[in-house]
Amino acid sequence: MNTRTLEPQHFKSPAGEVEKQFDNPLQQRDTATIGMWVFMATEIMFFGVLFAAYLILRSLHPAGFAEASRDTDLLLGSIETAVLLVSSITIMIGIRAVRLEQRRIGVAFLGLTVLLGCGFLLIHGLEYRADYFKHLIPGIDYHQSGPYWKVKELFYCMYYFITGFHSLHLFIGICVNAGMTIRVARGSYGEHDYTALELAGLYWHLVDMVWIFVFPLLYLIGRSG
Amino acid sequence: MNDPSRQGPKIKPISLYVWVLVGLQVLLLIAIGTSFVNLGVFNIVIRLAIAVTSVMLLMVFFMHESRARALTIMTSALGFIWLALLVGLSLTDFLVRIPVPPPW
Repeated sequence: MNTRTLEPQHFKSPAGEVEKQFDNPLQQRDTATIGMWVFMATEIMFFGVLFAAYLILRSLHPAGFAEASRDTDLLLGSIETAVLLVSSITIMIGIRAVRLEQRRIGVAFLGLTVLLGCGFLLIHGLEYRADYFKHLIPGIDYHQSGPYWKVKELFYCMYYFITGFHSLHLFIGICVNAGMTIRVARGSYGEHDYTALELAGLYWHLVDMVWIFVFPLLYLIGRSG
Repeated sequence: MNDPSRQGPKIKPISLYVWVLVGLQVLLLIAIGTSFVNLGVFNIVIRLAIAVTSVMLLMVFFMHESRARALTIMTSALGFIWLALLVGLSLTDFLVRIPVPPPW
């Protein structure tokens, strides 16, 4: 049996160096990107199940879902969307600065991205708080009247599942980017060694993409009725 | 630095990112504005068209899909293809299902 002792150098290559199995840094970077996309495909499927369940329930109860959708806070939802879209550009500027060896700018913009993510979670927390006082949280405090009170409960179940899991993913993205910001500040990444940053950026954009679909599905459709 | 095998994606100007952000925010405003207009079935179509356009902007300009290799593009499309299959096939059942009352 071939046993091989793994020394510390097997876990981490020096900055910009190529692992043994790759021909060049570009191939290594491409492989990492494809691996990240495979992971993100599983994330798309994860949210896809929630979206499919939402669409099926909506097709079965269109009037009730439209009425429940009108109870969501459009102003806060719109601000959250705008904040996430801005964070997409700040992370890009941060990664760009690291590639140009402008470490301080990189740290500033990556840190700003983390702050924008925290701002999103804070605003969303305010939404949850308002929902709690309006007795709109199924299983904890749900008291509604009217012909659609039961269908609205279904809507709010989906609302909390979808937005809750999105917020969890955003929190993971915040933690990852906070770690990346610290590593950039320490000089761990640079012109030739920024793949991990790019992958963290891809994950951040994925979380944005999910919200781009969540916002119209939960907050906008049914608003005109 | 000039070794082609070390070159990553080309560094784009910040102005491009700013223009994409402006486009995304305009799309957001259009989505919010049109949500108050009753367009019947086109309400959901317009909203989803705006969402798909926004996602395409993100993927092309921020996720480097425009200059990615064919294998990367195919891999990134996989998740969306599976999602389309999941939602499409599920809805083909639920949208055409006719409730049949029990005979007793």
